[in-house]
Amino acid sequence: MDGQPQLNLHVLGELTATRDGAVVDLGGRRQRAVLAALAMQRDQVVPADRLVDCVWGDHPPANANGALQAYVSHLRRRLEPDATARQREGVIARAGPGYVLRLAPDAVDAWAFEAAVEAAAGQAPGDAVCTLETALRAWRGPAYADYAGEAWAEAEVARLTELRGVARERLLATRLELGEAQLVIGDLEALVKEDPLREERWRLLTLALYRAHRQAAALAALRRAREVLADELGVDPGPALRALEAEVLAQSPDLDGPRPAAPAPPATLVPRPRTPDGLVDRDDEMALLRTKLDELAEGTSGCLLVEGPAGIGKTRLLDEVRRLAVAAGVWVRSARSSALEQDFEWGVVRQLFGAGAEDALAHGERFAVLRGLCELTTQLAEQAPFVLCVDDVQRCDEASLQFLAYLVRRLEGLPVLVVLAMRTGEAHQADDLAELVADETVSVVRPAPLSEEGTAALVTDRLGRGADAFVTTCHRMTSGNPLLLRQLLRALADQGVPPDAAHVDTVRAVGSRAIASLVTLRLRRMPPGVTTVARAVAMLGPTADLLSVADLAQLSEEDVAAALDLLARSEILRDGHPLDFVNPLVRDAIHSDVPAGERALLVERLNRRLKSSSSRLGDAGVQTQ
Amino acid sequence: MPDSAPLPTADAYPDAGALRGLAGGAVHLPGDPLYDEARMPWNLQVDEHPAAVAYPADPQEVARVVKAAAAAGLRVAPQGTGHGAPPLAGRLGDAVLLRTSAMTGLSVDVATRTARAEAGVLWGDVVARAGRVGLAGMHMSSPSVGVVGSSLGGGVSWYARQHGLQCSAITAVELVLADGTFVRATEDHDADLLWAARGGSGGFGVVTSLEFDLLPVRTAYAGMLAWDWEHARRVLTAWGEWTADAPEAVTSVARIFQIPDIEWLPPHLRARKLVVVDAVVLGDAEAGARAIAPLRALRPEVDTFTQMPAADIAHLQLDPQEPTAVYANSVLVHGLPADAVDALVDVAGPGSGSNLLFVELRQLGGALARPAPRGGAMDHLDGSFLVLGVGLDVGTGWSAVRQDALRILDSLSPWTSSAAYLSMAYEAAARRGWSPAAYDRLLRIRRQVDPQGLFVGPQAASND
Repeated sequence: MDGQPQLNLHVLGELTATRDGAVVDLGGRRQRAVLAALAMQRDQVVPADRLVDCVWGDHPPANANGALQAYVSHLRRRLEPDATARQREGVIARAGPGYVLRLAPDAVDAWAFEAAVEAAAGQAPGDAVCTLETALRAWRGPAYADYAGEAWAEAEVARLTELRGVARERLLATRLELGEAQLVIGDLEALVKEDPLREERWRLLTLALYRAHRQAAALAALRRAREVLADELGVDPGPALRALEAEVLAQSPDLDGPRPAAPAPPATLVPRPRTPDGLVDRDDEMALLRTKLDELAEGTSGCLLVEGPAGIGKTRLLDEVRRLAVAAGVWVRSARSSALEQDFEWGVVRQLFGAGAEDALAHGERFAVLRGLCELTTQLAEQAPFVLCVDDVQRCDEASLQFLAYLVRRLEGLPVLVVLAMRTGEAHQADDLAELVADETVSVVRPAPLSEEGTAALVTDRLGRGADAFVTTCHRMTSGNPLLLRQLLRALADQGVPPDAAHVDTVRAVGSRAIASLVTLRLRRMPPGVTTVARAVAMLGPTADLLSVADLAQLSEEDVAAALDLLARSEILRDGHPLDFVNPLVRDAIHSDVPAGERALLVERLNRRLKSSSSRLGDAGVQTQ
Repeated sequence: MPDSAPLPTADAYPDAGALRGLAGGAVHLPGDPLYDEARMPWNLQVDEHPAAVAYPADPQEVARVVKAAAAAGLRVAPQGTGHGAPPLAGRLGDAVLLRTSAMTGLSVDVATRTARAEAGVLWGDVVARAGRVGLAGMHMSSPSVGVVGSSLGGGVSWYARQHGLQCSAITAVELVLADGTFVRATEDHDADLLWAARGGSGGFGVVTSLEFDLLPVRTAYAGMLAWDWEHARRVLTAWGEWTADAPEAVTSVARIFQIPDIEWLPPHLRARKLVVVDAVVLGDAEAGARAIAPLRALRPEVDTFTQMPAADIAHLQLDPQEPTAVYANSVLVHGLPADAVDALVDVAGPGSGSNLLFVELRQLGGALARPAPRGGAMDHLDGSFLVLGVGLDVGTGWSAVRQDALRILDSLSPWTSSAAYLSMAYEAAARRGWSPAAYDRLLRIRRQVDPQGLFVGPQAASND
């Protein structure tokens, strides 16, 4: 950027604007209508009389053009407060008989959305999922929500709504291609329910059910599609659905999707990076991450320590590292330490290198192992530069920690970037960690609490534009801790609390709860099945996956998939794989909130599961007390 | 006045410490960083220092707070937004202020046309949710008022002359009693408590949710007419005559309004002294226009009447949403003859020296005057107008504001009813809020469910 403030217009929801992330007050509904009407026409000139029609409809005031000019001038002052009156024609420019909006293609969310959906069509499935998920996240409500039902907005709203429908279908179709049949069934059911006349949705649902080994349900879905189409339209399914039906009945091998990507060398550890969502107040940190990755691409090693209290957003920055690295085509190997695995020797190293580490670990003698692992790292780095990410390093097992310290001292000349996240305020006795933290070559990043502006941006993102008193109270109640703020905002969003001055005491009431009780309160308000699933994930710990959760919760895989999806959307679970909570605090809160009776039942099932399973679950240990 | 209450310190009620950690940690004791913020009600005129403030989020948490307070020898004062806080002044020193703002659950059932609102839900929330499915709630004039408190105290809405008091629309009440037990009272179970909830004001327990009927109203003809207050006598006299013949579909309010210079108000209203008529007419625009034609003939300078969605009617009156310090008092009067208007304008209109923010005449009668078929403790209002005086401290002190209001209300004494609407008459004797039989029954029920007097009742003058 050239120092100009970044101006963004958001129309996928209520119309809002932000300058460098801070919400701009755009004035009343009519004044904002001018901006809405201009954004709809993109770079076309909108004649003044057309704008008057949009703003006032059939009842324009006596001096409509004067009033329109006043609105335009107010909007310019708000959008470009730093410019002098004469210079303020950069964004809303006068052109011929009217006005035109001059904004970069990515400055208006609807424009960026459209571009992303087009771009995704030409991308590899993994990238396309990322692109589409990011793009869909821009939606905060119906497009141009403030002007729903206005005749002048109808066509554009309908067009964007249709585009969103297509994007959601493509996202699920792509995830289906990636072998996530189980996980998309819930979403597809929801899509079908929303608009049962779109045959593409039935086709995808049928395919997902079939690939999830539910042939009967797949055929039932086709029957339902046939019925709906007959009842509503009096027609038969189109050729695509009919062909699919024949293939299902014939169990055609063409229906089998690609298997989940075969473990290409250390395939395990490149989880699909989470897509950016409302990252605020992290410009400096992001700049540093980019610099480090750029240097890595040039062959320079580095070590970055992200340090801070629980919930400040360390994991989030690690996710950003992964996202940036994947986008730049750089391998990432990730591990997350946990209290459960702290006594599990070489646990983190195994997470980082998978089976590749076994040879080195077989040496037995500690020093030989360290040298072997270092050699392994060198060999891998010779093939291509890569990033090693370890989250919650304060809980890392002692042996792996020794390796990390050993490696960091020998990074020079290796194209490897080591990124560690460490929670402060937690006792750790390891000398190696103290040594790492003190190492001068390690760059330390300490994410600061969110500012009030950053808080305002997240409030807007989750609840719509917030009244000043509302935002101030959210900021004060959470002390700018992003985890607490997100949980608070989700709790308010779950209950449909609007961000106005009248609800300030609601913020106080909900926000003065401890984070653990805030999470458990939210969970208690969700459907019982969802609560059970969250508890099962917490009980299973790092070994949780769709099947084990379904087994433990004694729910169908479809129900579990739908519940997992809801939990991810509710910011209780992380979005993506492997299954994990957004923060260990959240996991601990849910784990300790399991009522005694249910706990006994779950432990019983867990033990039965352990006995009947050949997996080495015991190594990882499952917390059952 | 409240400022004289002694300030407790953390050790004034050492046992209040036993509450710490309840309600998921949302308990604030004197000296805690959030204590000062949490103890302040919407009406900032009340400045109390309770032994603790708690924000439980569900009935289980409420029960734990109630039991812990009782064990610590403290009383319990339930409070929603605190719009009705004034009667609590001077009575919270040995009490836990139990604020219900965390209980925000709200659902609307289209099929049965009912709503279920937990105790932290505001009327603005109900109106918005119900409006989406073409229903309306009998909301108060400000959307930031809580549903539970205003419903328990009666509830005079914009639909009241056609549909009666909001409290008569209550079909179920859920509450936690003094011993910590949870009760759901309906026509069939614990019917006494449902009867008490229908206008009995509270003090029986902590009400955690209410269920009540909604109205199948999508739109109504509503708006405001305004004249300079020089026309107060002419307009109020004509309005008084007009109300006598107005159909029950019309509910209206006239005000002598000395509007402050507040930024969020429309420019043509700022710092003006006006006489204003707000009204809502159920039905279509044509019938609405017909109904208010006689008022339009008085040539108002502002006329905002239009057919509007029911949800917008909650924003008809320009009440402040943010916490504000206000003094309010009211009387019920029988009739508004020209003499009464003269007396009122003399003490509240131009040249009177009154500093009140507004004096409001709320049209009653219609369904409000008849005992409701499903009525409870309060099943009608005994008066044809509610006259309300509301003042801000403009630098003369609260006792001057109070004197102003009392002088204005006293000017109507020849027409004043012996009954009082306690939700807006905090200083009136509690007995005046109900018929003698209903009052006795309320006391009996209260003694039965709260023999130790654990709860701080909503009226200062009640027998606690």
